[in-house]
Amino acid sequence: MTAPTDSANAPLSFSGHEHFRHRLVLSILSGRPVRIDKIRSADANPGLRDYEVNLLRLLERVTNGTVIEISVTGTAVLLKPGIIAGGPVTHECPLSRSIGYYLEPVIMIAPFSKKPLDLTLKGITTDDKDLSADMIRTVTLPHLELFGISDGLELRIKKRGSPPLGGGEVQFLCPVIKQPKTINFVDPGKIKRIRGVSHAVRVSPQFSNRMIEASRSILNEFIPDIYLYSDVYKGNESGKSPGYALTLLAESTTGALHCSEAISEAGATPEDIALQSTYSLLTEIEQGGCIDRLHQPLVLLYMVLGSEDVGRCVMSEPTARTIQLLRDIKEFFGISFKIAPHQGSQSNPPELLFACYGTGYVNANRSLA
Amino acid sequence: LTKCGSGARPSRIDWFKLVYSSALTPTQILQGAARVDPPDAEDDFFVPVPGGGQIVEQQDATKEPSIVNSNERWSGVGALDTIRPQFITGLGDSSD
Repeated sequence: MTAPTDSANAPLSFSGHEHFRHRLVLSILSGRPVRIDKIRSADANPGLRDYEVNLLRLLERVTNGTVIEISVTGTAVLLKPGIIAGGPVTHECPLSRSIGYYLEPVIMIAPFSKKPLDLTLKGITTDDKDLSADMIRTVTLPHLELFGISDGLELRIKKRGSPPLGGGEVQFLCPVIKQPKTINFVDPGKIKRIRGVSHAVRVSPQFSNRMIEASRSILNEFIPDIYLYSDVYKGNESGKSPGYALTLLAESTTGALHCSEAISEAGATPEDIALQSTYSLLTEIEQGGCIDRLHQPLVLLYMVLGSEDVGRCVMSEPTARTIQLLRDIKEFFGISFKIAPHQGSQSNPPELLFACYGTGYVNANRSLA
Repeated sequence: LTKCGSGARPSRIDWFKLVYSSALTPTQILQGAARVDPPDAEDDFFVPVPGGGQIVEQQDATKEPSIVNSNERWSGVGALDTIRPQFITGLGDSSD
């Protein structure tokens, strides 16, 4: 739980390893030091995991002047943020988490860099815990366009890497902005088209086609505008382990995006994976709102960083990550969202209108360049 | 207790209060703790805490289990029809 400190310059203190990433992001963006203790202190294997230490290293490389202190036991970490430097960075991610784990916090801070970020990450490109490279490319980055971040924004999947051995490689290019735009996104619209990427590496290319057929057998009942792309990588570009996955994306008439993904698992056929992904997409669409549930934290954070005006966005009910982010945003920025049922919502449970007054956050790092 | 997404929620939930004024954890909020009347401490000494029995390593994962496991919801007869109005091809309200 959060324990607010008396002084504004003293580190904000948190306990536990949950929500580790967004607390680091909020610290870097707000410039306020953060201290996180009791990290798995009651666990048989206490302290930071390898992927959390690796993330700290990555943030240290993307920024300049950041001081990170880890206790001897690894159960406490203190981060004193520096400036977000950007520039070319190459980073090897451990195989315990996919690149999505590392890329998600980087995407939140990268537009506020001194120089445009050119980040190459090596590791696993798709897993069952974090956003995959496909999902980031087709859904996460378009969400940034809502805030005026588009020119030069790109994710290139150079090699795919499935668990457990990975071997994938992506390149993330992010421009620098001065200030995010304020959004007023209150009409979810109706779903007008569905897109998807079915990929298979080191297995029969037919697996990819089987997933597409199984998914279309359901989606064709709803809408004719469906394009599912079969993406089969071969040779060195296919990583070190076999795997396949189906990523789906539904776009509404007003530009709202909903996404889902399922990846190969032992004992499951490609058809099983396709149905899992398809049903997950329908669940997302059913929830309503203008923002996909996986991307609520990203959008809410950028709303806080917007100009000194009221930003509004309609979303479905918040996830656990979103609730904690809202609480932590209040600690770091002193901003609370107004959360009210959206008038005219037809979904059950009803959609919610999130509104906040932006902090007027300006990219000070950019002016130094 | 109702589970997230079961459709048994009351129409009015004060999310602002739940998020900013409640001592419940996010998981407890989503598991429906807020929708249960607070027990009288003098009546019940032993109070089950929603989600308190689960000792699972939280991995700071973006894909949450409640989002991933949705096969059961859609495999029933007629389940797909409930979502049809949310597509441009489905019948909407008169304002569309």
